[in-house]
Amino acid sequence: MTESELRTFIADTLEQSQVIAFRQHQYRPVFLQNRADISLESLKIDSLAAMEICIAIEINLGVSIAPDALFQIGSLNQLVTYIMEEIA
Amino acid sequence: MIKLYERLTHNCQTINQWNHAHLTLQKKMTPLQLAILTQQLFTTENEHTRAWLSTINRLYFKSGKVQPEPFIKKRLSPHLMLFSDPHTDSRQKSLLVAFTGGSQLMMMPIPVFLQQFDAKSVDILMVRYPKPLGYQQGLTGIGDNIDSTLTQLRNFFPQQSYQRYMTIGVSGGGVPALLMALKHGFEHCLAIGLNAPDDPRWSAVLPNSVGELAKSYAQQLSKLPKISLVYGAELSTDKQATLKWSHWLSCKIIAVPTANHVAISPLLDNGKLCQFFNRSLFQAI
Repeated sequence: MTESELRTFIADTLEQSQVIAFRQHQYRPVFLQNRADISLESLKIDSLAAMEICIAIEINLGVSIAPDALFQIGSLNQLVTYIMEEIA
Repeated sequence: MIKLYERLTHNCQTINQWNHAHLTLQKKMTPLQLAILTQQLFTTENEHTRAWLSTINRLYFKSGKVQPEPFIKKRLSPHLMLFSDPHTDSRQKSLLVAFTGGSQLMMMPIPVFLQQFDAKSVDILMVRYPKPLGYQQGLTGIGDNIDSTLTQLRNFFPQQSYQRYMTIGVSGGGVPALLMALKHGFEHCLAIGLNAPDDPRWSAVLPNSVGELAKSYAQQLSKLPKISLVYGAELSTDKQATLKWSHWLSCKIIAVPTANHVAISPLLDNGKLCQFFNRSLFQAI
């Protein structure tokens, strides 16, 4: 999986998990083109969405991140880096 | 239900596998099934299941009822589930068509949602959010666009088979709930955290905006449904989206203080959700 494909996957997952702030701030193009880093705190991910994101990552990419650990990752770019390292 | 639980959790090792199994269960269970599962797993030593049961039961008892509402589940299609008490004649009941949001939940686990209603007086037809496309593309096997889907949905319950008809929708299910009530002239509609009338995802698949479509349905009616639109006061986009609808339709707007997108969460936490649903959906116009 390329970084670009991973970014698309994460963007789709955030939208499907109803992370409202991701759509509200129109972060998708910013994130896909890596124009800025987006903090996970700014996305206001609730516990259900965190669970769904971690489930999607594990099922589709085989990378296990606990929902609590997701919030410690900090930003979407750091999440991309973490997953890329895990699947390398 | 215990067999489904065992099948879903058989190979669970990671926290995400456990969460996946639990989320799957809370999208499917009736209140009765939750009560039975809780009883059967009362002594489980599995920490994930114990924590999940504790959380879901805490929400479940917010209804203030001890006995589970006796809803029985019947699968009508991959996207449709009817929850009813088969011992009560449907002609004595109302039908509530419930459109789920993106998580295929009603902003809470399904048994918690069902427990807010009286199974003797209402059947609930649950429409599951079609992932990943959303309702904009219709429902597979029912209709290939929203208009044909709403027409076909009406065929699942013959005319006059219930006393009254109403809809409820949350998040991405809010607009379909509104459209369904307007298209078929139902009595009530309650939409929570719904999309705006000019939402581009709807405009992309319609000749005009979804606001125009709603207005065109409303113009065919001699009497409009009682429409209540709810938003969480803490989320400006939901507030803007909801307020825009007041320019298109006659509706009652309700802001829930301290709430975000999951606008009915504080009502559930305060044990006032039953009362709120009763007031919004069942009181005479």
